[in-house]
Amino acid sequence: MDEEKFKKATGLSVLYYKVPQHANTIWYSFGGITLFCFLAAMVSGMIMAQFYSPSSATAYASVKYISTTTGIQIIRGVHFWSANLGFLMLIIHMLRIIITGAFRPPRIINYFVGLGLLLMIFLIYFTGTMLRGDQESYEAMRHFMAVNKLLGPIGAFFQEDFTLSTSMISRIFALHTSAFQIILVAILVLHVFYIKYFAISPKPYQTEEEYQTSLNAGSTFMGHAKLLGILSAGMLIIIFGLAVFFPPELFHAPKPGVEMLKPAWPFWIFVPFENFIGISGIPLGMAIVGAYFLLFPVIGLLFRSERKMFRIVYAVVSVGLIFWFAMLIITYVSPVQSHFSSH
Amino acid sequence: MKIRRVNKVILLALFAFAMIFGWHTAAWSHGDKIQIIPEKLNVRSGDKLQVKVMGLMGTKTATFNLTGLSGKYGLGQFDISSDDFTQVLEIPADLPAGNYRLTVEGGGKSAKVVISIN
Repeated sequence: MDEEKFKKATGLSVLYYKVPQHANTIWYSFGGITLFCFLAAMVSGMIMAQFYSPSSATAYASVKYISTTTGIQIIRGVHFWSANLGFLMLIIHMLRIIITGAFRPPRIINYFVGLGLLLMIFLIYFTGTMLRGDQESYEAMRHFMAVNKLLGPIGAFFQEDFTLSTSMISRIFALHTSAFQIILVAILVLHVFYIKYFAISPKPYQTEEEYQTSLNAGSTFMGHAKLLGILSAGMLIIIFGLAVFFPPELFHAPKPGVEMLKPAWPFWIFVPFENFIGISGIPLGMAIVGAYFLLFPVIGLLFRSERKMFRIVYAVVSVGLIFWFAMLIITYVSPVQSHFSSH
Repeated sequence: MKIRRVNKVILLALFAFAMIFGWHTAAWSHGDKIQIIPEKLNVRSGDKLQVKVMGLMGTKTATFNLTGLSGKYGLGQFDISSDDFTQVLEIPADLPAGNYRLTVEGGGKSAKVVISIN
């Protein structure tokens, strides 16, 4: 069978659709690398689930077993690092989307779908930190329940005494490994569909004519996929390297009523809010971050002049980055504060 | 025209977002001030469990109960001399394993925590 027949028979010919030249650069590949990182997290998570025991009495012991048993401990490292690097890649991907103005119509719908993905990944990452059964997991669980308490009846489902038949950790495990994953994959399919439907966005200030010329220059999605394959292989080497040389920590068994650790880095942006106004600072911080991301499509709709729009977008991005780094530094230098007694 | 319609949708979404956020703000104003903190979250039936209670004001006695799928078990009523106190509770030896809601009540107020009994 020749190559063309093989492509047709396997459906691979679908992947040879035209993409603009700039799509086949690293800057436009962070979405694909993020996807790869989360696939690595999913596969390593499936392996770990064979050794993990999701109950309040056994979770800590099972994670300790995973962390100290040769072979499986690397899988835990892969899970940890692929999740963390995936989150970092996601931030860079979002930065690229915003800086290149890809949130504007007609792709505005896919920007909102992307925000849905960000929310799901945030929830999956957070529920993951609650499963270890150690001190950090206990503190994450307490924060989760405290924030849900603020939501009134909606948050009642996420209280530990919603049911006594199953421990909170088992329910979080179910969310982390099934419910949230199903929603994530559904949104991801929609995201990928829209990428194909609307095509890769033009570069800033690129005219329609220049974009069409770029599309006809011979680059195809298969070329993009090959680049993604190479970058993903590199990422896999980095993930394994970090898993071997910097295995994830497991803290001591929880000390009830005590808060002594800072959360994982993706949540550092909320820590100063919490330190300043208590547990309600977390939903406030989340609302501010959410409103910030919703600002870009509004800017895209309000300003028709591309030059003016990009000038404002870059200003908003700069303010956002300065704010984020400031929050990271404040969290890093500030001592751990206990918020458990304030709610 | 189309853009204007989209603008309306976005404004409505932002309004809904603000309403939800306002509800949050209202919800912040109420919350439990009483706390019960067990020394450990996993205990064996028959064990002694030390608990710390904070903020149980306006009462001279505190009543402790365990509630699980198999029913409610009284752990005793104790005299207290301060709003914050520690109490050692004896977990019944014949309790079936499972998750239990440990509650402290006094002066019309209560606090709860879920513990696991093996």
